[in-house]
Amino acid sequence: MRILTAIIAIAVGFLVLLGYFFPQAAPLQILLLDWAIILAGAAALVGFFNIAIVHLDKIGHRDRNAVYSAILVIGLFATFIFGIILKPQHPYMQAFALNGIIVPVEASLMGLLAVSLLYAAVRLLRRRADLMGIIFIVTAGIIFLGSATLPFGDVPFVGTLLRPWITQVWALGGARGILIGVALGTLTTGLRVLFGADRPYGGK
Amino acid sequence: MPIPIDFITGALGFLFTVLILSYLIGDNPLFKIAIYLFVGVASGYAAAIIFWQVLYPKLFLPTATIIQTGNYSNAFLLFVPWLGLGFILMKISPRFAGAARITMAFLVGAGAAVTLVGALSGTINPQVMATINFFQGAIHKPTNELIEISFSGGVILLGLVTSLAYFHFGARQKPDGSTKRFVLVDIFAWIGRIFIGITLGVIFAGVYAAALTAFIERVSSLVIFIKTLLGIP
Amino acid sequence: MAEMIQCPVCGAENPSDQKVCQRCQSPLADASFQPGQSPVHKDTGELEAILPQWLRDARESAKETDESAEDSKVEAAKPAASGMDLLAGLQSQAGDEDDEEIPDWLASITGSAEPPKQKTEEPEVSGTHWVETGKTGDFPQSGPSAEEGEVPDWLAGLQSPQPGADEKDELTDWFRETNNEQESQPAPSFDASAAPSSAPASEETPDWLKQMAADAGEQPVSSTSEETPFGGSDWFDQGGQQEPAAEPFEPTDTPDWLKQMAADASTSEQEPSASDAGSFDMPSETPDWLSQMSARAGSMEEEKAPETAHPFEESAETPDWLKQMSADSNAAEEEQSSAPFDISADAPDWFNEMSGNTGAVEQEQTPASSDKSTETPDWLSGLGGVSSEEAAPFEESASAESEPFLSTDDLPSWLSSEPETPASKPEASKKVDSTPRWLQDEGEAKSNVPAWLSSDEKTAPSQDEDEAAPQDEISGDMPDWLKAAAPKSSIFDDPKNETDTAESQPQEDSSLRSAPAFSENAFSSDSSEDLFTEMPDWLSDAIDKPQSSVVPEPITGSDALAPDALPSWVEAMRPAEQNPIMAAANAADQTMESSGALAGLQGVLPSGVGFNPTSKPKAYSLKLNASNEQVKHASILEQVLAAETAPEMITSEKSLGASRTLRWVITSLLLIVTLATSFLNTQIFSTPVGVPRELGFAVAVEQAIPENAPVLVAVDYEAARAGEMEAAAAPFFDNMLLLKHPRLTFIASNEVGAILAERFITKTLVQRNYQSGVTYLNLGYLSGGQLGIRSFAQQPWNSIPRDIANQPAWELPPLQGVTSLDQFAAIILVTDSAESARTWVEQTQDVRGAVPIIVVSSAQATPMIQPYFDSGQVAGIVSGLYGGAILEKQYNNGLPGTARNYWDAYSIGMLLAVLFTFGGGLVSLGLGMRERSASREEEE
Repeated sequence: MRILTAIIAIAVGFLVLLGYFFPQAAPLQILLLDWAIILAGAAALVGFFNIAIVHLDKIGHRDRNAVYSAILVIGLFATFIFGIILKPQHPYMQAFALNGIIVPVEASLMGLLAVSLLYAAVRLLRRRADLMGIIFIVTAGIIFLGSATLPFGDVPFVGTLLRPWITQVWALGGARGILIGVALGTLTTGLRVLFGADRPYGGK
Repeated sequence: MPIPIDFITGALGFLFTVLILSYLIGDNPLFKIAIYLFVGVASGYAAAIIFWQVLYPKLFLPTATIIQTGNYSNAFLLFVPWLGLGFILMKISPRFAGAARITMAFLVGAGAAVTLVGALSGTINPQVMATINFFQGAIHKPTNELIEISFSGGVILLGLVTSLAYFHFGARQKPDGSTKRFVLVDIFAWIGRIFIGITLGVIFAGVYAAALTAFIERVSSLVIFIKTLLGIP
Repeated sequence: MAEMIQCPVCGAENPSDQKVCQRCQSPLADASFQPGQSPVHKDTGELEAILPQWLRDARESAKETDESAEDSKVEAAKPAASGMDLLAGLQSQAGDEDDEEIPDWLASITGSAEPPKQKTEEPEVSGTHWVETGKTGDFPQSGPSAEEGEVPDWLAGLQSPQPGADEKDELTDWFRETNNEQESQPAPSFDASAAPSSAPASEETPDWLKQMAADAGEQPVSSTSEETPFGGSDWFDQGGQQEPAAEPFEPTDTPDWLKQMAADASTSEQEPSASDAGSFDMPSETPDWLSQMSARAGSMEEEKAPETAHPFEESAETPDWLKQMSADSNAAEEEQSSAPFDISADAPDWFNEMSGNTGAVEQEQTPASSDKSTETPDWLSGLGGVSSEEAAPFEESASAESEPFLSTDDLPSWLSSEPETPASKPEASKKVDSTPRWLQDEGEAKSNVPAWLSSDEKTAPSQDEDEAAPQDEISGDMPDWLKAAAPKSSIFDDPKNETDTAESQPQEDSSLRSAPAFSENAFSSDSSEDLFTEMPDWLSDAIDKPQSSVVPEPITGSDALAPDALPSWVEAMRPAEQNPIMAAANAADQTMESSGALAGLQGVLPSGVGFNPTSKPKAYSLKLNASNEQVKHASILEQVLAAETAPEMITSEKSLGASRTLRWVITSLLLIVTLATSFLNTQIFSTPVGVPRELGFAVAVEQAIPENAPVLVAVDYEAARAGEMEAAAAPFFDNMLLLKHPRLTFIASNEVGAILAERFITKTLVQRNYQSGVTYLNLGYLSGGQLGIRSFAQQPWNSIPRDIANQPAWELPPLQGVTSLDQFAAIILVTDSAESARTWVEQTQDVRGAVPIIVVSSAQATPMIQPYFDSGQVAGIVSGLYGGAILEKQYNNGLPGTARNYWDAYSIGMLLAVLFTFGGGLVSLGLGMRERSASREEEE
């Protein structure tokens, strides 16, 4: 199984790569990618089943949070069944599932994050008062100030000069370094997978 | 008189917003109920979307079409997805979960190739070239602009180099067993910390701005719902 | 009311002042062999005459059976199969109610066919016990095949039939295996036919056993048992010629010889009847070897013991059981107040009991020893609970192998002559009073001590009651088998009294037989420390205890059992089996063992011919051979691990209330501001005036889109940021739709994105009256992440052939004339994730051609998208609410939209953030510095 999976991964990878360099191989690349779209969707569906199984198991074992798991399972199956019947874009599905539950809950959680972030910003220097911490807080404060406005307009200097300069020059340098670093890491990881050194699909 | 659907939506949104914001008081069962229900609904919704927008149009419908028309000439194109689907569904059973590796190997192999090329052609090369070309148009500029461009370009270049140096963790081993980075890399890494700190500070501010906007949007929705209930324009 | 005691043999009630049972004449007084006690010399020669007939016959016949015994060894190589063994009587004595408490290993040893229930109840207890209490290297034994060639049948049964017997923990193993055998075969582990000398055993009793029997005294012991349990124990079968040697014994009765041992030889005159003896036919004469032992007992100091056939080669490899015996022997010399061992708590109970009995020679039973009964294992307790009817007194002399069961407290009643009070009878009969009579009687009357037990009166420490308890503690940690062996050390002579170390002996068998099995001075006191150099700590501690006066000499010449040899002490008790060669070797070395377990034995551990050590064992250094490089690497690894595992000090929140207050303050302020501005619809704060460069480019590109051109809108944001994204994108799209009327095609690269796009177009842009399938199209969810985006970039119509309503998408008006990505007028990416933006940019890099990408992003993603704008890969960026507010004001004719509604609260929230960040940060910085300085001072 290990060898088979490694062969599949390497072969598919190199066939997809061929499509980038040789137009003749592009149809094969498209076919493989098309299959990948379907299989990725199927994998996501397995995640759905996994959630259901896990929480059904909790209910079966009468865990401490079995009641919550029951709520989850009820919501899951109800939404799935209605989604299959009505289709997800149905106005009722949008109204009840998306606009009634998903968006409010997620947005509220995001709103809670605002409080937590502000609290963390206040407490940061108490825990870590080194150069990076100070620079971090000062930069964040400048951006806060530059993003706000006054009744008469932008905050002078900060909103008009300092903030754009920081975001478009100083932060750009660091962000580009991070991006290139991430890309290099991605490149290395992809090569390792293609050469079989890394086998994240299982079977080390 | 039927209840308007918008009202139901608004009521649900109000209810769940309050339940979630109750976490500001502390963790409580209402908050947990809202979270668990949200996870269930979101999962079921996503599953329905996957079914209708991925599997149905790309697998079930073509298969049904082939069966209905009897044209099996292209049936082999659907054989692999069906096989892969079967394998990956075996992941549900611990006994046969190993078969899912085949499908995962397929996805990982294709994804590695796509990511590799994308990173190389979409990020590394363009970003490096952009750093170099920053100075390209500055030569024919007036002095003040030349200084400005050179300074900005220099800062960006310095930020790029020093940030990469910051993430370089290679070191040599000293005779006494301790390890130390190369001096130049060490200096660059120290400077890189400044750029990384600035970048993270900007990102932090952006995250706060996004969260604050979400907070405002939710509170505004509450206000709007209350206003609607109260009939306040 | 006069206190009554119960006869351990017949169960009759006797007054407490009686020494012997009025009914059966068995001794009633506690004469058990206590831990720490040493046997005292007694001249039991006069008892020869009262030996039972079967013993006499055995002694006679033993003289004639040397040759035939050798022949039988070949057959004895097989694993024991029948029930003839030393301990067969033990099982037989177990009461019915106690049967289930007998562990399997013992049941296996005893050879009784246990009910399956008994096997399953405590199958592993004893075995595990031994593993725990004994070291694995403590039990050097020879391989079974080679060893059993010279092993008596009772030992052959004990030995592991498996080839792994030469492993270090083989002693434990063979006990375990014995247990397994018991489970697998109903036949007992000890097969008389399998023993090397047992095949003809029905003909003769080995001389060494006869000798022991003679020493034990010749007093016949009454037998109240109805049948004899020993049906095939060949070395008991001297008188039992009625039964075949290999006949399975019946585990209901005590063997006569053991009864004889148990009974006080001096008090009981009852002759065992043939019916009582069961399979035994009582000889009328004492066996020769018993006679020899008896004779030897009378002149212990002068006699020389015959050499054993299998000496130890090196003291360092002395088996622990032997070391323990030696230690016990030494302990017998010491004052019993100083406990040599402090590990009694870990010792198996039955071993404690037996060790306690060891000390009983010089100590009377103490309460401490009786307390041991509480720890008595059930199986042994069961042995003690034998009724008088079941108890079969030993009618044959106890062999050396029976000495393991010298425990006082836990020995069964058939082994114990300890008087019992009626009140304590039920308990004591099970757990306490289990000392064999032949041991208990020793304490009562030294005159009744068999000669082989009383090696020397002079060397026997005083039997002080107060000294018993320490010995119990000593034995507490001993493994069971060691406890069983421990009493022997007490039996043997005091090493202090050893005189000669090597004296020649006549080489004739007769002379060997005449030599007592046990003699003193066998060890040189000076070498005893070498003998036990590699003992376990608990045993070494015992040796390290201050000796009385003379340090025993180590066994010279040999210190380990030969792989195929019996323990020498066993061989020492088998003078009749010595061949001429060994006899000659023995003649050259007749050392009297003066210390240790074999104290009193002569020539037991000689360096005989063929048994001298060829070489000393190699000394292997425990020091790790590592190069400097390896050590250096190891130290680095150690440092790394130490750094990883070093606990990081987490400063606890000293002011939890303060932090909670701060949280509440932040929450309250944000809530108040947001509620107030939302409820009042305030527009106090100005929207941003300055247009960022990326926003200006975005608007420019948008305004450059041709009229009614197809525009691809990639939606990839979560529902959490729907408010922000809609607020940012609405003015942009509003402006675009208003000006250019593009045909929009939505596609989502996350699951909910497709529905969020539908929500956006049907709610936020409802004023533009865009209709699905006509002016806009929602392709739905594009799965696969990068794979899907790459596939869509290469062949859009193939990746998503249908729209969200499952209509053929590429035939609908919004996508008319579009077959590839570069045919779109623009790509507008609405995302809250920099990763998503990077993916879209990367995967469409080579196929989109000159199609611009405009990113409407969340504020959190903008910093990481900025480099793509700077590199030209992204044409423009609309960043969050800030960008949306600018667009509304600057490019949407100032129409108030969502951004404007949120802006006051947003702006105040940002100012609050500035306030908390700088103000609170400074305070926190000051507090942190103060805390750090304080902690630094504390450290200093």
